[in-house]
Amino acid sequence: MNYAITASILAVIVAAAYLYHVYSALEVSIRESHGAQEEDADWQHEASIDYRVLSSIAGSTLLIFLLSAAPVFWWLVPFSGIAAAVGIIVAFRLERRPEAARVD
Amino acid sequence: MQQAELLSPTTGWALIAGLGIFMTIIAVVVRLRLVRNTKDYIIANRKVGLGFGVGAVIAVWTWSMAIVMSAASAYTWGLSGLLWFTVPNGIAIIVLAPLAVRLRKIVPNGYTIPDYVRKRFDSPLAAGIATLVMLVALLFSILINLKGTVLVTSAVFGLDQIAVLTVVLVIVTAYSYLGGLWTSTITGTINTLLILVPLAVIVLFALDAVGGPEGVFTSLEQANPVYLSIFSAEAAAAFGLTLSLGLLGASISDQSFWQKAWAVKPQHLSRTFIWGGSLFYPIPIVAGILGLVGLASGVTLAEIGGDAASIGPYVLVRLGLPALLVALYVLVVLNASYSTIDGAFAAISSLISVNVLVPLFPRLRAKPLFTLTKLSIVLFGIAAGAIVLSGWDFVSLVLLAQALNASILVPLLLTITWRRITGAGFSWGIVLAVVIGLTVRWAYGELAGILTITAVSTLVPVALGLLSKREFDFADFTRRLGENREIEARINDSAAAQQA
Repeated sequence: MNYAITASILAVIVAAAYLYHVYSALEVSIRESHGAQEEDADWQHEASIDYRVLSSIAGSTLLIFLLSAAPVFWWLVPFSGIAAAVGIIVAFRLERRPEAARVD
Repeated sequence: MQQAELLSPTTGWALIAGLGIFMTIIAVVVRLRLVRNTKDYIIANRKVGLGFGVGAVIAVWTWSMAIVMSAASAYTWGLSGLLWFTVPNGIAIIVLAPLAVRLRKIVPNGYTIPDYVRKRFDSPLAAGIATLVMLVALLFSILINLKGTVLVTSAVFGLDQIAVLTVVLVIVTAYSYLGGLWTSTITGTINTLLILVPLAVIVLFALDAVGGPEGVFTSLEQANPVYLSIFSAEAAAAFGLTLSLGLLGASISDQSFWQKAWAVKPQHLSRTFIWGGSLFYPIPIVAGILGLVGLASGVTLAEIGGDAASIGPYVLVRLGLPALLVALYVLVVLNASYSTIDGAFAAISSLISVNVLVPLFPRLRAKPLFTLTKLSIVLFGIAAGAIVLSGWDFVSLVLLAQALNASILVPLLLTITWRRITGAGFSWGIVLAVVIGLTVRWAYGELAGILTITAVSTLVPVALGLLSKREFDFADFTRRLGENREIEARINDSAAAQQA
């Protein structure tokens, strides 16, 4: 029960933070929609995506592998859902940074 | 496990309507504050940021059937089934990253794939085929999501299937109509939250209800150690390879994603798809645990009506979890369904506007163009409802959708990356692949069919391309497009469209 209760508490906190970031980003979108023209891309700085792709696939395989390794991981793997929501919050925060104007 | 007991139908209707009302309120705000013309409506003025981009990509890709099917794969094959269901799903999104960046460089101000096809080949026929395939694929994605919704609501609440289909269609059509891509993006981001977080909580409570994962783990180990292996080749042979090709075709032929590729700010484009694919992974993995619980508990296929897709809701209802948690699971499925249908409607509106209305009615003014673009959503909503009510077999629909998606996969990849492909190669590649592939599938089965479709749709454009002496100049094409902004001018007339 401890894991489920912990997840419930985390879920409420993460959901509140997530919705706050959705609201802030919506405000920014509304301001932008009344303002500047489209942005021209600077593709010169585009980085290689290979390692990110590989680590993503390896990460998902690892999560499933953990389920085969020991029962204790079954308690931990569901937390990846909450972690993914945190990942989207990070995405909202990243786009606010000045260097986010650069092509990734 | 206890005997299954259905929850009150009133709770089911409250969930369906409540989520619809919540999304409609957001859509009204978006419509009033963000959408002024057709360009805002179909391409969100190319202002979508990283957070909304990632959230919306996950929402569109999380079909209601994906939530129930991940549990079904784990229930049928154990962990190897879950692996083969999950990994290709994420890859199908991640591969869009380099393709989207390349296409955005070639056509910085694009709208739809068929529009790019028309301009690249100077061929209305090739564009017409691409439009048709994409519209049919989107229609099928709507139907398949409705199927997932019906499956879960009837298993948990015992709701009438036709009534659920009609109400869900009306609700999503209504709020999609209001704000187009902006609505789809913002509601989709909220849908993603309402899928990811509750699912984790529900599965942890479910594990707790069965006395912890230790018992499940031991039962699976004793029943068949292969269930706990991720390396079983059986699942790969049975459905993994077919599914992988089908998923790649589904993502690459889906205008919902290309629409986002042109709507997201260019600096976030590659990250949007890589993060989207990566952060999608927990959804099928976490949902799949319910299938393993069902497998360990010895639930038979007959008990769940012969359909493995019912295992997730069946396990939750049988575990005797509090009604709130079961209702939360239904909410997760509803979110998945609403967001994909809503994304499909937004994509349909862009295809109809740019590839049907603009070329067919060159004198159509901004105001009627905006109105007709929005009405296309209603039209497709009615079409989806009519197909469902006609009783068309869903399995046939899914298989046909998979065939169509697979037929356009390679021709589209070549159109984005290869200088030699011709309009004839693109068109004949798709047409012959569908005709020959469906015949082979009818005679020799699913795997043979999809491999034939992929082979024909590769060989025909490659052969015709090699025979042709022409080499396409992408740089010159991009330059020429920059000088011609006809569509931009027609859909960007804010003042006229505001009155609509």
